[in-house]
Amino acid sequence: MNMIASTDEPPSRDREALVRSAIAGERLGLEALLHEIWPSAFKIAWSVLRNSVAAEDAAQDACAQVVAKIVTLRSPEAFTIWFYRIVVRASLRYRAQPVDSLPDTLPAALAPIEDRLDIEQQILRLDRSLRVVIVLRYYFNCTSREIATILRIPAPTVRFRLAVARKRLRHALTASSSGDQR
Amino acid sequence: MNSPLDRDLSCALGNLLDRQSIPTVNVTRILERSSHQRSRQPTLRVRLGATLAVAAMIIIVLTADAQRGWALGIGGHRSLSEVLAQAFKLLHLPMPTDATRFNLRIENYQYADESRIQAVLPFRLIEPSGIPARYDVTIHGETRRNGNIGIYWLRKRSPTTYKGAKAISSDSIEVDEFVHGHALGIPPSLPDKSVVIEFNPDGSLKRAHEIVVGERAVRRFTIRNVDIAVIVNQRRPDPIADAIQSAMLSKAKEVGGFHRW
Repeated sequence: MNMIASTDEPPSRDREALVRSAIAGERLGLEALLHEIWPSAFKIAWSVLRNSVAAEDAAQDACAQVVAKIVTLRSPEAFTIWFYRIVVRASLRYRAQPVDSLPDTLPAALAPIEDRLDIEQQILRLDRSLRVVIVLRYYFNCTSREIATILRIPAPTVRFRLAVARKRLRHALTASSSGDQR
Repeated sequence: MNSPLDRDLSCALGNLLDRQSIPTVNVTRILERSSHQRSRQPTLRVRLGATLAVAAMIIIVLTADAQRGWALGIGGHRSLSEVLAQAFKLLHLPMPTDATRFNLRIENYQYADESRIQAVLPFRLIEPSGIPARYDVTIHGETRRNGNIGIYWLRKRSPTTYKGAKAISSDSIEVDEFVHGHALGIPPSLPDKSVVIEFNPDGSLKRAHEIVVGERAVRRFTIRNVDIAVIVNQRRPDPIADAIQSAMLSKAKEVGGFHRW
């Protein structure tokens, strides 16, 4: 299984070294790994739950599982997929939470602001099963096969969900832009 | 990932997720939760024990043949084949020895409740005339501490003639030809005659009863303190059942355990 080069993650070699030291039972290595994976855990959990408090709890739960089970991980190269799977499963165990409100102001560099808010809102409105696929694909740059492994579903199902999500988003964005023009 | 929508999605997700304020990682809390999770997991000894128990059950099921398996299943002290052998002996009928002719494979079974088991066991019986006939043995067994209680119907597979019978407690059987029989698919208005033979746990004959039920009559009888009962049903035009029944009755009279209702 290939390492995934996600948006905000350091080179895989650094992480692999941390994983190896954590598997070897080194406390410092484990703590460093937790610091390293925490942002990703929180982001995945938030993208599933759309609620900061619940996401923090789910991410903590996932990290605790990582600590408890990392010694069972045979191949350090497979850590990222394994870790994503734990986070997704920990997040999906939570019931639907009240959705965090999006901030009203965005950095000025992000233009046009309305369009971006629009697409973000549409992403957040997607069903959980579609949203998690979209996030893993477009934010964490996972391939369909990797997403299939993470979610334990067939790769064609992943591709189907991606297509459905894209179609819905395209449709929603077209509808909203045509409404604006009127 | 080259379409405008793909690029928009990457961009939007980047903005959305990077904008979230990520709480500080609480390593101490995570380690605490981790140790708590580990303590909730079953210990190696418990896992090993559970695995061994499951493996033992599988081995028991796989190694026991159908007859022994059934006897084990109803907690009995004798296998069905032993009971049937006794019945055949009593009936002066040749005991089938060929496995294909004495097929005790369980075709269908269902658990009426936790303690009662029903099954239909098909087998072929070679009649004294030399004509093979297919019979079903319907078993209604109930586990009890000192053995098993069971009602065995020897029934020709076709046409269907059933009698209703049910165990109402651990030591008694209630047979209600028409009321419960109807629920089992018995035509309620057929004139019928049956013989009930009770066996002791050691296989010896306890007593036998002949039951004659008139058309549209409803009659119940209760056998108490029974270990095994074999009920042979008869439809009047069925010479084979007649032969079996006569043999049973004559043998029962010889033994002196015959009672007429």
